[in-house]
Amino acid sequence: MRPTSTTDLSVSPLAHVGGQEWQTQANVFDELYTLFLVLGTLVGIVVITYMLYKAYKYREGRERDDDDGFEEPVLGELPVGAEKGGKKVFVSFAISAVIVVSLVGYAYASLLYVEAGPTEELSEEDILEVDVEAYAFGWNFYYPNGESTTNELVVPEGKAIDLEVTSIDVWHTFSVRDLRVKADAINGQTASTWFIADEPGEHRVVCDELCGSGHSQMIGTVNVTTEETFLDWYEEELDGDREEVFGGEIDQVGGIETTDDGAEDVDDVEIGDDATGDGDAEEDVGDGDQDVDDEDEVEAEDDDTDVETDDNDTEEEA
Amino acid sequence: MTETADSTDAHGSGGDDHGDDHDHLPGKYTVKRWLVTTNHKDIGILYILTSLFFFVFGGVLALLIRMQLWTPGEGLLSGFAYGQSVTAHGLLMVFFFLSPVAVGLANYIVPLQIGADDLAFPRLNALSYWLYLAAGGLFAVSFFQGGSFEGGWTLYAPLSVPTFTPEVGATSVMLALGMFVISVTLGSVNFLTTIHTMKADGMGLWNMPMFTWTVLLTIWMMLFAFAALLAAVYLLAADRIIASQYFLAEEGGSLLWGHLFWFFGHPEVYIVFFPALGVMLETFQTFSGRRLVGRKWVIIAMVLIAVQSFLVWMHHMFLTTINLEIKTIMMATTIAISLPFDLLVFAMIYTLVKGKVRFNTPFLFNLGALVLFIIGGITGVFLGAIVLDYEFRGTYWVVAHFHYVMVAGATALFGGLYYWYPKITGRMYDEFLGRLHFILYFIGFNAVYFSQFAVWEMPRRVFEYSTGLTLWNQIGTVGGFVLGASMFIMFYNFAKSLKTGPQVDGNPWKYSRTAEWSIPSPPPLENWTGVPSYESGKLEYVDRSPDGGHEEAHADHASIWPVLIAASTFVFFLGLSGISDVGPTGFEGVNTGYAAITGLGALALLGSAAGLGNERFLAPEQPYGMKWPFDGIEKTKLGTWFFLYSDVVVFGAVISAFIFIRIHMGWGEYETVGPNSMSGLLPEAMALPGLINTFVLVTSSFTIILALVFAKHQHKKGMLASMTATWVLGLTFMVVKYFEWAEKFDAGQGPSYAIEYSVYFVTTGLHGVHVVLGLLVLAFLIFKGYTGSYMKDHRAIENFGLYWHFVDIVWVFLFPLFYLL
Repeated sequence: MRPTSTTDLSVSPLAHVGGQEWQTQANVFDELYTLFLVLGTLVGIVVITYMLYKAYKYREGRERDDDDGFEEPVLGELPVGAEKGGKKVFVSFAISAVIVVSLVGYAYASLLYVEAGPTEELSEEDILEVDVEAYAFGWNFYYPNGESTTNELVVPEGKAIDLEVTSIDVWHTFSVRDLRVKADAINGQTASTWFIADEPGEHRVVCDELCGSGHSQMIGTVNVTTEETFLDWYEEELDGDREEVFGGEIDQVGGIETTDDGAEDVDDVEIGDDATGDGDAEEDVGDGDQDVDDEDEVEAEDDDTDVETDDNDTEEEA
Repeated sequence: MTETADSTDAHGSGGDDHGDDHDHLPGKYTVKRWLVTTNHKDIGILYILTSLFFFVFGGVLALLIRMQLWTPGEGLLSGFAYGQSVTAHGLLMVFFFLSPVAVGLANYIVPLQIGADDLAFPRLNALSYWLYLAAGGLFAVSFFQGGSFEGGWTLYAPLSVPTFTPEVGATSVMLALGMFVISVTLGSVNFLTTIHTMKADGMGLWNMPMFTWTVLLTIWMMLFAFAALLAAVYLLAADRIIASQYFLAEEGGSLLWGHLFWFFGHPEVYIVFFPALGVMLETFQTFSGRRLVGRKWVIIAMVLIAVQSFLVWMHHMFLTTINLEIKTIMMATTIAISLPFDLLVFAMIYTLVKGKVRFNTPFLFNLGALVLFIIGGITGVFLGAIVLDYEFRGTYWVVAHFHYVMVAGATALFGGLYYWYPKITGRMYDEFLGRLHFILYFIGFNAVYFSQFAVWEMPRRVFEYSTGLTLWNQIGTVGGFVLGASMFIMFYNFAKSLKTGPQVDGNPWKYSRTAEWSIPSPPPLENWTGVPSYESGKLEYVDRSPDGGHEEAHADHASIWPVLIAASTFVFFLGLSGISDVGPTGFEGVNTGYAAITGLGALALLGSAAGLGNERFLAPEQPYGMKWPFDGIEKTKLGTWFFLYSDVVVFGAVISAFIFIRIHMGWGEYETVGPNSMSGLLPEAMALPGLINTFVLVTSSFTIILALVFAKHQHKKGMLASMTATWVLGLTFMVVKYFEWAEKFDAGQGPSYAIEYSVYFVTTGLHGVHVVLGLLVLAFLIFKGYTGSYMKDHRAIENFGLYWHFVDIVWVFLFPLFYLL
């Protein structure tokens, strides 16, 4: 049943970054999906087979004992239930409840893992932050120096990529199916997600929320390269400083980022950190007009913050 | 469709003609009969036929989608046309087919199952149907107004506002939904009153047949869920017509829509599925010959589901930056709501055990529906695991899952059509064709929807996909056509059997138990020959009134006003759809042609509503029956209460929208708009006008109570004076309101000026509409009172009073929110 389009990822069980091993969403998803698929298929086959077998076995006209408890209903009787069989219903119900609750409990543990992200031991230079801006109908990717690309996201292998996703018009969903990366792109909101790609290759970006007539064609590419190729590209194409490209922190997946001053980026984000997004959820990047200058300013501010934190790191290392 | 429609007229072989003269109901072979009828069985037939028409409409759109998916890329349809197709397919199937076909069956069957003569408010029932048809008509018109809506059946904002979808047709779609919701709300009030007060003696809630149970729970969910949708559509229509900024606002506009829509949208899943579940529960019993196993627990499970359905909506929004705590709660409630369904499934399966199972067409469809529902349920558990949902969201996994659930429901309902076909027509369908239909249907169903699991990595609503998936998509397309073609076997079967099917007596099914099978097929106009009662534990007819049920002989069954009101409403909404030009910069002017249509519709609406109010119409009365927990409440009063419950939700949703936006902006950042200087009458902007209006409205609540007291004492002058005082006070309120609004408009601060102004105008505007409607009704009541009504029967004044108090109480909430805080 699984289509073959995921093969170009050829994931190792774990992704590697900064000498650490991490379960990316792709790993977690695949593991969980397989488990659900196996159990779900099993339960489905058992239940459906049992039902069809019983329906056939008790078809009218088969031979049966006179004394097997069949009570013929009477037209016009006050509706009541059968006298027997309630216990079986409860036992089956209890079994199914145990299966479902334990499955979802297990899945919840994976959720906590994915939401936390590789925050604790990952040094900042293993992280690349890219701001994703969806528009009808395409994607802009803003790099730490404020420069951007359209419809092509170039990232190095073996680094944690921190994505901050928003939209400047209608509701889109940024989605890289191969890498199991997805975040809603909503004007006025910023959604965070992260991924680690373990080897070079190309992956297709699609929009997962109907956004208008061009929705089908809203396609981009994630181009995973070696770190060296990426840095060369960053210098040549985006005029960036290869020393300052990495930095930042992985935000809680699906959490909201308060980006007014970029200060939140530096804070530790704990699981369950208050992320209701009230107050200053609106972000300058997405105020509806596509004024490029504006956005550059914002990016520049973000960049400043990044530079500072990088500096701190260098001191510590020294 | 015409085949079926024509032949329906021919089914009148039952003995129902004696009542036709004195209740002014023309014969079944005349067109007029079907325009004026208020009989629940006729309305049921109209509902079923109309819903099947929309099923074909939505089905053709589905086949267009499947043809586009034959190969990747643009083919038959442009991106715009494809967007319209997926949108209209979804809306038509969910709103205009699934619920109405169930309501059609409920219309026909529920009164028969509980021993009622008709629904509590027969003309209201007719009005529900005609409004539904008119709403569908407006939806169809939308395709010819520069294009229908292309933003998906979930209507996600801000794609749904004119900045991004400027077509007039898109506005028509929103208004058609609004009309549909009005129809549903009237229907809900009607069914709730009927089921709660018109059950035969001896039939308490526990003993209601399962189909009636599922319909009751469906209707309760409808009353509240559709009210939330009405509020959402009201705000959206305001954005589209008066250029308010709710869903364009960065202050959570998109999320606001998500919350409002899914608060309705999740219960809607069960609203659609529950009647189908009821058909399954009935047919599993009839065709196995066994009573339902664990019946009491089945009912409890269903009640739990109905309540919980309002607590899970955010699981549709896991990716929308809501925080982990909320996600955790929603995951827990989602899993919790899946468990009662397990119990329902097992109860049905164990009901078959040790039965005498007969594989007739109705049972085949329902057994098949359960198989499909089990698959839909299991794949739904996948979505309950949030990590999996992150990846499945917006993909074909979701599409496949909900088609397995929703179309499983449709499958059971088709089974229901076969099951009750002999009851409705008096003739048996062709069993061979029925089984053939099922086999093709089941194969086609699984080909089209299972292939969607195989291509789950495709995003929904796109026609670009990687070429490796072509084969699966083509299997789906072939399956779709097989599924579609199989339906014509059913249409043919039903049409043919009307003339040539073997005649049946009252009860063609062995082991059936419920009351609808105890009377002739089709049942006579007033259903029963005596008064049905279950007091002895089984259905009997008792003679209750001294003159032998004479009172019912005068019950009316015909009224022309419902269809006229619906037609006027159609014209009115058609006019509204294009009345204003709203572009990216906001309100750009009024379109006079459409404005004329709106005015015409409004006049016709006033006239036809007055006609209805003036008509002398005697609904079948049932002074007997089981009413717990509503003993002692007169039925029109109960209906008013049910209506007000839903109106509470409408205002609740609109006020919640205000609070949501204010929190997203920052509570202190929000500038309260209400205070003003009344166009210079006051020295400075202050809350005084709001305060004055509060006093005015509260006073009017007292005067309307006074009117009721005078009416009870048969003091005509006092009654008229109090009513007039109420009317004048209400008018005063609107005049003050006018000065308030005029000042803001003069300053160029209309609804599109800022989000605070949108919220202020739209929220107080909704209340204003309530006041104006109240004044119109009150003017009519004063006229009627003047000409001699209400001296003996003062129910109308009492019920109007309830409404008026409600409108006043709402204002007591709005005043601090919009003037003080």
